[in-house]
Amino acid sequence: MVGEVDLSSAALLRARIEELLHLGAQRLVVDLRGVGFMDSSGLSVLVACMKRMREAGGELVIACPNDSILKVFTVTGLDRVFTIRPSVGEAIRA
Amino acid sequence: MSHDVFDLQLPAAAEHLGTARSFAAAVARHYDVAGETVEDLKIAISEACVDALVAGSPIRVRAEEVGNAVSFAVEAPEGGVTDEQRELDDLGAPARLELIRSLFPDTSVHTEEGRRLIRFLLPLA
Repeated sequence: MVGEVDLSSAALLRARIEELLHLGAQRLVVDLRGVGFMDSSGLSVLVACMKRMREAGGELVIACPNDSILKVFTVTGLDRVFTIRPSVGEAIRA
Repeated sequence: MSHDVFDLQLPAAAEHLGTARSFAAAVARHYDVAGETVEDLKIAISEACVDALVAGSPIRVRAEEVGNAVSFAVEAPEGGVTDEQRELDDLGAPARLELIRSLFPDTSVHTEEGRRLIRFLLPLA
C-alpha cells in the first residue's frame, strides 16, 4: 500500500486483499511502509480481512515501521490482535 | 480581544477527507504544534469527519483559538457517503469517538437542531 488509507480509499485496500483471498492466499503480509496516514476505515478493512483469513486457517501479518500508523493500532488495542513487524522481511518470518 | 478563527466547508464526499486533514495540520503548524501531535490531530479530524460523512453533509470544520488551546469542531448536517463506504465503516461511531477521545480526552459530542458537533481541544505550549 502507498498513500493514505481513509474512507475514500479503504475500498481499494479491501478489494486488493479480497482478490488475494480468492486466489487462495493462506498467509498475507500487508505492507504499510508506504502508507503515510491511516484511520479507522483502514483498520476496519484489516480487521475484517484478518477474521476471514483466520477462519480459513490463514494468517494476516502487518509490516509497518511508521510510528504514526502504529499509534492507530495501539490506541485501539489492535496492536494486541494483529501480528505487526517493522519490516516485510520480519513480517514474512513472523 | 481578537483571536484566530479558521473555517473549512467541504462537500459530503469522502475524497475530501485529506483536505480536512491538511487544513487541521496547517492550523496546528500555524501555532508551532509539534509533529507527533499534528499526526494525532489528523487522525482525530479524519475520524470526526467520517462521523460527519456518515451522519450528514456538508463537512464543516472550525478551528478557534481559545485561551492556550485551539478548539476544533466538526459539524454534521444531513447527507452521506456511498453504500460501499458506509459498509466500510463497520467499526462504527462509538469506536471512532473512542479513538478521538484516546488522542484528545476532552472530546465532547453535542446534538443541537439536528446537527451533530464533535469538539476537542488542541493544547498549545
